Amino acid sequence: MKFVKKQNAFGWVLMAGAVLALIGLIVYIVNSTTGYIAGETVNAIPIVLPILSILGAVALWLYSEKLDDRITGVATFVLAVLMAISIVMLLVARIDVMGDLLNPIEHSAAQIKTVNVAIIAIVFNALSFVAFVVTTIAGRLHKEI
Amino acid sequence: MAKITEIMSKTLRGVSAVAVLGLAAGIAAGPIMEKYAAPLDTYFNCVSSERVSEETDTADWKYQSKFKTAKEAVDGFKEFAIKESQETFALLKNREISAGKTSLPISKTAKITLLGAKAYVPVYGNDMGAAPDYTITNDGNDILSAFKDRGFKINPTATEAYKTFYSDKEHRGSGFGAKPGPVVVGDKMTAGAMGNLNLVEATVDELTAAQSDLKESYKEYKDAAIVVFGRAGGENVSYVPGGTSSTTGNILGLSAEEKAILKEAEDNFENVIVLINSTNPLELAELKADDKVDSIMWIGYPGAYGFYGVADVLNGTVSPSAHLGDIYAANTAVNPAMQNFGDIAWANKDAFGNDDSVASYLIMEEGIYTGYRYYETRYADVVANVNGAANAKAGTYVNANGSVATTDGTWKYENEVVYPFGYGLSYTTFDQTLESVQIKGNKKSATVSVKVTNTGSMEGKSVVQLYAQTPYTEYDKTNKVEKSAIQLMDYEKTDIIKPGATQTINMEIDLANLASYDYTTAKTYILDAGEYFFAIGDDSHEALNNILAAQGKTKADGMTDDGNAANTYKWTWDDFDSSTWKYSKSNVEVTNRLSDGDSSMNINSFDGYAGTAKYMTRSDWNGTYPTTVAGLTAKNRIETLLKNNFIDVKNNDDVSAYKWGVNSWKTDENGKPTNHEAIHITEMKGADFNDPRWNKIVDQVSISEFLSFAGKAFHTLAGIPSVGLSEYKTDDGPGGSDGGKIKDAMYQGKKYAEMEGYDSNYAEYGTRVAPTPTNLAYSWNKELAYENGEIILGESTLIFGYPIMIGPGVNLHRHAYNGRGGEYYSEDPVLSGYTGSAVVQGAQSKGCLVNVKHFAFNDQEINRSSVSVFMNEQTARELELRNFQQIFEASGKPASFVNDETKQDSYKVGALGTMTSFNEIGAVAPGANKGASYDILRGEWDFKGYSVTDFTGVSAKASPKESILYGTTAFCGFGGAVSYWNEDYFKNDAAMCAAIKDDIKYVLYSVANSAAMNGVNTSTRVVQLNTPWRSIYKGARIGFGVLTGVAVAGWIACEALKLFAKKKEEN
Repeated sequence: MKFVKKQNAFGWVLMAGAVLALIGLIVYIVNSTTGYIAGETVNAIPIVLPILSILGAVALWLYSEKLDDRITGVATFVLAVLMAISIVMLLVARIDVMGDLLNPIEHSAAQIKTVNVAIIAIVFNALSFVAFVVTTIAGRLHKEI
Repeated sequence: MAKITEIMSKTLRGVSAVAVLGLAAGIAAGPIMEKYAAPLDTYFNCVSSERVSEETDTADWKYQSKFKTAKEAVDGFKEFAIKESQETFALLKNREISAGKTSLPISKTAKITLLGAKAYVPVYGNDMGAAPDYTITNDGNDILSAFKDRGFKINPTATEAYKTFYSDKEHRGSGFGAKPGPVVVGDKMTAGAMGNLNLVEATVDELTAAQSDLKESYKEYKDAAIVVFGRAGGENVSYVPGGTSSTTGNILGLSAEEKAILKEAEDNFENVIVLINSTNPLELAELKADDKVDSIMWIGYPGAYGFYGVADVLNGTVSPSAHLGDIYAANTAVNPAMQNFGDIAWANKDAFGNDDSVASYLIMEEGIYTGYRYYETRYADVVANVNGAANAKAGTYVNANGSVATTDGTWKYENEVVYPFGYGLSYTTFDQTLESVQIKGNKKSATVSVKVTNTGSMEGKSVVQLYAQTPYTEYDKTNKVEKSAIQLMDYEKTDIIKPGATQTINMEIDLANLASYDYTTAKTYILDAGEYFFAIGDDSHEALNNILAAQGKTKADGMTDDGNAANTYKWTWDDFDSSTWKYSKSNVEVTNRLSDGDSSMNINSFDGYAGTAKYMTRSDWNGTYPTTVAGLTAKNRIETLLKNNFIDVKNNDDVSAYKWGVNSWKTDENGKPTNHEAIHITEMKGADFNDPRWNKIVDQVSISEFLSFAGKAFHTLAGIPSVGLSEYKTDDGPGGSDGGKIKDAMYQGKKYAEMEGYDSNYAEYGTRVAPTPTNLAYSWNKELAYENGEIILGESTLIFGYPIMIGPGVNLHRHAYNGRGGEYYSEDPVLSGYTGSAVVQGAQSKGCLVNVKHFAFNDQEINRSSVSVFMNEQTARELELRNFQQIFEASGKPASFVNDETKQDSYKVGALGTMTSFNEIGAVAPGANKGASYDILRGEWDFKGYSVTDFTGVSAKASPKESILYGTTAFCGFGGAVSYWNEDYFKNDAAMCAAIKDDIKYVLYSVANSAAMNGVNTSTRVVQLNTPWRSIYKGARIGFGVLTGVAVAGWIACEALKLFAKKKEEN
């Protein structure tokens, strides 16, 4: 637990980013496999990129103390970029369902729910992105010894 | 310094990350925005592409616009809109208010007081799908401006009172004269929610509070009180009966508040004129009976310029000549059709998947007895004292005041009907005489001659309405064939006839519409042995009375009036005939298509549903009056069909006969053709469907290319590069272009020059200017409908370059409660069919590829995309399909066209395009209903054109594979495609291959015979233009790209500086 105590505030922001990405990931998977678009081909990019971000964030959290601050800075930047692309790809994956709401017919509650849940997933991804940007700016994730 | 470098490095890292997000968004936005180009163009009010050709000559411009300048276009559309409107207002009542003077017309300079909410915020057009151009209306063409322009002096105090009252009220917007905003999707115009579309009436006290001298002002503006009552209408909204303070309790009756305003007018004015601003038939019994209401005129929704036309009729510049195209009942909720209406849910609807789109069903137990067919036929049987017609159960008939009778009693026509179908008065009077009738020996046509004399003192137009009665025989009773006692056969409108002058109308009558469909025994159209009648009359009731008179009936038998037997013609056919109409005009056998199997619309034919529908029969009015068929469970085959996946696509057929993508059209990077063996679509301009070159050009297209084309049809005609067809923007609109503005309009490919000194916001004007389609039908003028097609649809195509205009809308008015009814013509298949046919012929004369909609059976907006419609095949064929049939078979040619050399090319080809409906036909999607969409539409009616779904996308709801198998050529919408939408899935099924070949040919044939080929040749290519929305994503790419580069470079530089500083420090 020693390393836990060594984390500074930005280390915890990094973990918050990972948790937010995980929530966004779960919401996206549920969104893709249930309800209105259940059974359709799932766009894997908004799954793969957050997983990479989460794994990277956890690794950084565990080992940032051993890394040069420059490497930490580059790594957190990469995490932010992964989430940025994930956000955009998630939007791309749902644009047809969202666009269909322009259709002037009744929309099923399931369709509207799918769009709302997709927006929730995007919001969690975006919050995760913000968290990683903050850690990118911070550079160092552990307390000075 | 080191600290600053550190801070900058970190900051630039953060900025880099944010910039990457922006860059990624910009990159992704490009293809997304390009996909949604059509709606983005509409939203941003711009044009995103244009067609350029290296060399064109005049021969490339087959279709010529009549508008060469912006001024000609603006003035031309306005001129036609007003001209059309003048013929679409039906005068229903016109009392004599003093010796020799009737309520209408009023003086051109009359001083008038306008009362009623709709007098100040009238309904100009049907909302959403066919909304009028409010830019025009609000640019000095609203009701007050139009009335003032025509010379009326309008009471300013009353205007100010309403203005003050409505200043803080909301009408989907706020304030006086608020512009109607978008309909809230899913809203129902129930009594509770009607505020969304219908403005609350101000009480007299509220108006007086707003302007204390209101009553005093009446004295100066006393020539007439014009009271306007109305109901708004729109796409995706519906009225439902009940829930209001009207006498019948129905929302289509006058509310207590409206009656209070009427009383204010009656108490203070000698001449009270009521205008009915509604396309949903209102309950007008009280107004008709009220002696203090001096005149009533139905104005429907008159359009963007329509109140000029209203003023022209009010002041007598034009004599009213419209007639009702729907029956006006005392109680709109008490009739057979309304017993099965609205949301009648499948008991197990929740067991279906979301993609199945399953909610409710309608079973049309009323059979053919909708509208006037019910009321007039029952009346005829009451007079004849047969079939127990006079006996009625509680709840199935109305009292003298229109309220529902709560005990068993006697059915009386006088109580039920306020104004019959076809009713309409004029400022003058006409005498019509049935001069001659000749029935052709082959029973297929007849010639009828009618002499019309203006016997009044004012010039005007008259409508000749020709009706028929066919015998109701024992065969019919035994075999469930129903007969209406009166049915419209044809109509013509005269020219303007001067007082004392005469015009003779010679009509060629299509006797196909006389035949009845026998779905139980003959399984085709039949003509019974027995006595047949033709009759003319000023309306359907008068024509029926004339026939009853010819049959020896009088008022003593219970007739409402004595008829004129002289205006009838009787003939007899001795033999039962099931052969004359056994083959269609294209020589295809006409037999049951909708009575058995998956295509069936008769729910009784499905396993487990025998006896579910108890169809109404004339032989037992009281015993078979429909009841609501509720609580059904979708089971067995119906359950399977509702899941939209009911044919298997094979993967091992011999498909060697089908070649795909052979010898396709190709060009180099400069657009120059490189394969001179290929046929370019422009080489097929005007080609006949049987031209052998079609086989070759169809083979140039691959399955993938067709699937791509078919899946991209939202306001778009997608390109097919292998034949040189480039993409076109298309547009919606029975009433004109949805998004086109004069500033984007052009003449033969060149944009109009600006109009200098034109004192209006004309550049923003569009072409949705005409009265609503119901108004057009009420004109009973085929020539006017043809001109409507030429200008409203055809010229919209030519000046904006949209080859497809999605219209006209032609579904029948099954009842009074369809919120979208104003977008359709009438309750009668002949009036609707001939009006639609004329519009289509006019539009196609300008190269417009019409999309006649909605094929078929879309008569309510409640659950419109998830309602299954059932009826027997006689009802289907004699009402909704008979209506569409006229349009696809190019029927109803106006008498005046017969000898008009300029019209010799008209009415040779039926509609070349259609849009299917949202509802299921029976239990399957409309495009997937083989009986309706393939056997009847493409088979019996020989339809060779473009068939697009209505906003389904390639979703499961559209049954895509079944639909392309049965002739659907495109799917309108945005949504993602079903998983099987790929070449591999279809390419090894011979039937699918054959169907796709046919579908490609239908597309290419209809496009080659449209204005899509106008001004284009083999050198034509599409150039993308810069637009605000393209600037957004391109700007994002450039801006964030530069920012990313600069930020990353800065970050690296900072890190380098840090390293340099550190090394320096170490040294």
